[in-house]
Amino acid sequence: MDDGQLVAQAQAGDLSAFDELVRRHHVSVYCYLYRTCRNGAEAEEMTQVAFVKAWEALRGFRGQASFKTWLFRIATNLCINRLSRRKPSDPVSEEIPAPRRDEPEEALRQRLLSERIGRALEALPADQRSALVLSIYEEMSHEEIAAAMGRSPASVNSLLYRARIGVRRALEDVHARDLTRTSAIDNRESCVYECEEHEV
Amino acid sequence: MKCDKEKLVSLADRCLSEHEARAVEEHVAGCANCRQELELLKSDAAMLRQEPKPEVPAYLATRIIAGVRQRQVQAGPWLIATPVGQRGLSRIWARAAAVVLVALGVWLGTALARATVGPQQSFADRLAQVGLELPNGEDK
Repeated sequence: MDDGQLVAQAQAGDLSAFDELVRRHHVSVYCYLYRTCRNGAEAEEMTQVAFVKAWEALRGFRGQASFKTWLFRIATNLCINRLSRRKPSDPVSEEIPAPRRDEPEEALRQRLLSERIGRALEALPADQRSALVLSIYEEMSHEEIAAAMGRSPASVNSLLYRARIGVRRALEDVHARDLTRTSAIDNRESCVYECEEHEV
Repeated sequence: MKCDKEKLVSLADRCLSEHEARAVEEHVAGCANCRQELELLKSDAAMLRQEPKPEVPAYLATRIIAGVRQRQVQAGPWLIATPVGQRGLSRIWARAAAVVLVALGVWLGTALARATVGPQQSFADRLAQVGLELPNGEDK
């Protein structure tokens, strides 16, 4: 059964049809909100609120856009409001734990990459960040992003270009700042390697 | 065609029509700056896509569903959409109830008006209608 049919059933008062829509879309909504606000607790709370709001407003959904796009519009409004209320002094993202000595190399690299991308995204204004996440991770077309953000496709093109330039600069800055840290990891690796050779 | 960086983003994201994409690609083929920019846009996107998917909290869907039901209970039955098949029936019942209420209002209003400003009858006349009369000397 496609989303349109489930929406029609839910509009007719069938809560179990709406439950199925929740099961289908909660992961993508959560990931989108997490990547945009970089905080698990906030993303979880906003995901919950987004679905409650969607249920409340479902009677007004006329199907001009897909249910997913409509849902993402609710999530985007919540997210941009939340980010605009953040003060510069507020801690933006969750505390990232320091590398453990016994952490597997691949896990450590993935974590550092996430941290680096997270910091680069945080350097962008909220609307650019939302557009970029929808484009890169949700693989939405520019028209879908425009519908999800309540903007024209032309303004989305401009937003995405500025976001790409912004994130590139931010990644360069983050990369420069992380060079010391990365070399420390490399030193740790070479140390482990030398120790292993010594033991042999 | 002039250099248009925003069009390059659309090209990198495959969001141009076939006709537009061909025009931009022709320009890029002859413009070193745009070619370099397009490569950078593609590599930025590839780098960002390497970020692993966030870990989704356990039982998130169950908690969302419970939250929706709780909201439903708090808000009361008016939040529940009226089932499509019953919409016509509800409308008929609503109209019938309105007609009955209006008729009741009209009847009650008329009865009250009769009681207060209706035909002027003395107490003695009303007693006479039921076969009684006032004792002698009582003021009619």
